[in-house]
Amino acid sequence: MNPTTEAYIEAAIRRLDEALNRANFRTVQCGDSPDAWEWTGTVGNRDREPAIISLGPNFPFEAPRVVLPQRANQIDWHQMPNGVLCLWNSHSLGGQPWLDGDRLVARIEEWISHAEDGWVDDMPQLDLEAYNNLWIELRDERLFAPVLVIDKWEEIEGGWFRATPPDENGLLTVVKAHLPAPAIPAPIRSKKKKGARAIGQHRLNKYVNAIAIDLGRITRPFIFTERLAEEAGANGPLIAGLLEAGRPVLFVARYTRDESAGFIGFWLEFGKESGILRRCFPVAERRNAQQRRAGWHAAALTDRKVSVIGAGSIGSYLADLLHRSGLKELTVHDDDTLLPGNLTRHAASPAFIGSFKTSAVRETANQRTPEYPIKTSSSVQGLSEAVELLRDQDLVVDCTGDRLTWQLLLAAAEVTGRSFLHVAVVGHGQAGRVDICPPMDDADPIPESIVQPFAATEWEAGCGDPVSPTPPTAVIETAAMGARFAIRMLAGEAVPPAGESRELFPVSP
Amino acid sequence: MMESTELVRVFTVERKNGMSILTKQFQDALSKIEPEKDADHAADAHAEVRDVLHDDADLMEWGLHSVLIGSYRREVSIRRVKDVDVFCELPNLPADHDPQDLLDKFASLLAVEYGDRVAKNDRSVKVDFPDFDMHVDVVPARCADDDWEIPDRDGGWEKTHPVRFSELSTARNQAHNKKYVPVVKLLRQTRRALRGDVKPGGFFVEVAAYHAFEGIPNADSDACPSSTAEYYTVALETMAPILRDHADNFARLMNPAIPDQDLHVRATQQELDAIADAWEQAAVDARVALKSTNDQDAAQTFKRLLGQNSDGDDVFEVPVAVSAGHRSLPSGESPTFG
Amino acid sequence: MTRTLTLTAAVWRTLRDAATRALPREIGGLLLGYFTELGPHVVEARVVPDPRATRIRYQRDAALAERILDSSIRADSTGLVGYLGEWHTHPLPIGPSTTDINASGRLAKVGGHDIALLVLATGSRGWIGHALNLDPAGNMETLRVHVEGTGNDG
Repeated sequence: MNPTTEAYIEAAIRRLDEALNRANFRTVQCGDSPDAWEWTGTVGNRDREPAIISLGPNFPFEAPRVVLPQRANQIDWHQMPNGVLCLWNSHSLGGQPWLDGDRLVARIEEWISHAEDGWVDDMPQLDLEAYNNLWIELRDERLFAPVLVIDKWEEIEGGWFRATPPDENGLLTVVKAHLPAPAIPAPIRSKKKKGARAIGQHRLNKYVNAIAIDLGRITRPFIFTERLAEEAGANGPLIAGLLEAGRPVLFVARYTRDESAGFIGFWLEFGKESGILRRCFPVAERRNAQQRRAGWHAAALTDRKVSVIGAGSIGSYLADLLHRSGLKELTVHDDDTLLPGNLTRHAASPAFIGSFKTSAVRETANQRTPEYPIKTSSSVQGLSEAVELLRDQDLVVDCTGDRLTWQLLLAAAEVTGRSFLHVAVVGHGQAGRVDICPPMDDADPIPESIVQPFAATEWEAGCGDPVSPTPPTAVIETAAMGARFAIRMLAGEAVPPAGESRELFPVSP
Repeated sequence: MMESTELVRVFTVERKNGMSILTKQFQDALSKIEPEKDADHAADAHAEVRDVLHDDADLMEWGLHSVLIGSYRREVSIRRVKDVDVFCELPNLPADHDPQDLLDKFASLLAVEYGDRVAKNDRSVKVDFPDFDMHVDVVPARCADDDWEIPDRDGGWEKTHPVRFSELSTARNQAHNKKYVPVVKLLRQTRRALRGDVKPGGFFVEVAAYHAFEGIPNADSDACPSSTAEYYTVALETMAPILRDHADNFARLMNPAIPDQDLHVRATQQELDAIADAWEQAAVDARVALKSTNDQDAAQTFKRLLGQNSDGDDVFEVPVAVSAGHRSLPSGESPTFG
Repeated sequence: MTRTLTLTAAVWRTLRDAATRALPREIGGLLLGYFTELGPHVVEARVVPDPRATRIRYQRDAALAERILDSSIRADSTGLVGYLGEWHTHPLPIGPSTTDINASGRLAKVGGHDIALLVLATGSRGWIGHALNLDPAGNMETLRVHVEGTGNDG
């Protein structure tokens, strides 16, 4: 640290120290680094109660740690298992309100009021695992934090399923669901006992028995093992039997808080001396979680049909964006195969080198979201096929950069009276444009982009054309412009009638 | 001395506005005046003297037991510690033994080992330890009921109980959130900074502080000062009238260890007036600093009040503001605002 | 985070008094102090008189301001006090004007450092402080105005 940063941090602490002392806190400890500081005092609106404030090593870029000793053991919302209050959400933008001691104390008192009112009007934060001894350990000097990924709750709900034990990355996956109750295996004979094993270091079972249970509404963030046993109902003795036989059991639960659902998992294991050991891990649902992130136009896109012609650089990114945004009826048209050089400006995974570009785009999207695969087709041949496409699809997007395809589509547009989108990078990245062809409402087309002559000099074997030096950034930005136009048009929003042109990497004459 | 109810009022008002408590700077100041090596030297010197005295059969018969006393024992000594008191309890000393003969005996015993480094005073025997830049005052004492007696200047005995003051100081420190000891150190350092080698010395300040702390709301009270800065300020404020009343012969300054005994103060009237003046001004300055909204200004005041330690370093360091304002105007133009 | 222009209580009093005395005309001058992690910290506000000031116009004279700045720097033993920016008054309930922003922006550009601009505007309950920060790149940021020791914003 240089003297200026030291002085910066020291000044921030000094100010906080003085404000806290004004608020009748006492400085119990102080020192050179922020984490040497600690204050005690009392807070509260009605009844005063003791509070301990300390700083972490990253202060002032993290909030002070506040513990209310009288509440440290009653685990409540917005309170870490070690008793530290969660006073500010680190994800929200904004300043560092804790630099001001008065606001810190006010915030603690606000926390107390909310806690005493039972956190009504609270944001339903579904992070129960943060309160339940999260399974996190250091393995081979890397953090190891298991997580169970399920496709959707319905996949496992209401009974027994099998999951893999955590792999080296900590990932647990569902092997088989909706199974009958497992049989209790014969207990391990003491002769064969290989000595006590630490939790998480079992003999490598191929799978772990798991049970999915709906906990319903919860009011407190900590879930006692007794509650789990109670919810297991008739399965209780079976779970106990499995544990006694030395078999771990996964307990995966769904819960609701203020109408929102969350998931949590527990790894239960029986230790001869320690009794039931349990560790908590997050359960991540894929399908709904992805849908929630598809953007607010997703609902309007589900039943729309779109063809993206050209699965090269712009086409691959544009198709990928439409698929990510929730478009389910998407076809990509192309005859080319994917080569390693393409990858620099292509959305497909390198795993699909040698495939058709269309299949590469489809399979890449499938790895992420398999439930609505992209359709693939050859490139458009002849006017009748182009006319048919414009009639059948809600939108056709030409990303070929190929004048013949463009002319074909222009003719088809004239025949059908429907417009298509033409998306292209101009002047090797000097501009990107989206043209609505022909423009809607008889508007004038956007003027031709003014670009400087730019000689491409690199040639490659097997290519009739020189390699374009277009920067990947220009490709992705233009593809995003095209995708945005497509999404807005499909959702029925008004867009500029002729399209949009944007300067990207201009070149001086 | 301020009434404690008035103190309560002052504190509750100040608590709202007080700004510059500079916790870290005060903690660092205290470590700058810690005796450090002096403490080891004092222990070594004591051990040497004890070994010499323990060789004497008479002293052993009289039940010799020596202890370190004084500011060192009370943990309120500050760097540099130049004198250390070794109190030699002789519980079995015959009642008719002459005090000056006893001092002579100590002086000659010590002279065998230390030669001309030994000097006999009226009430003690002084041994120089030039390597440590320190001297040890050896004080023989006989038992008298519950107290001890040491030779006085007039050839008789006088009562003392130096360990009792340690016990009282410990109790004071406990009652005041362990702030009494560090604040006394700061006050002794303030005397050094403001008065240097002029009498009265650090013990005078310590005794005045001990009495002043009686009137400061302690840890049981809501009005108890919270920070070291506030304690220091309040102590200066509470001590100032005690020093003034003592200088004006308006009130006595009592020896805390012996009931109804005045403290021996070796200082002229002029010196007593001067320290009372200095303390009054220091109290005013410290209060202004404590209340200051600018901790740079406040730190400058505390820096002045605490002076330098024996290494010539400033005891109190002014914290660095993040960066200074610009040294010149941004341009030679005269901007027009609307 | 919103950065703060901090004024000591004494500075705020000085500014208010000068503002009131100058009525119905504008008055202004220099903001002096240092920078903390919260933003500029004003420990001294100096008046730079402008005999030709009107209700809507104040010109801060460069030569006079330079002498005033020098005297403040000389008088300061901490080595911290220096130029932070400009202040002036609006005898109307309006905050910084385009003219103010342009003039301060120009100072920031020429000086190559941030300029704090404080405008004291009259309001129904006395003078109200409005502060901006202008940087050499032409960016403008609103500063919170805080008067120390009062808990009140100016």
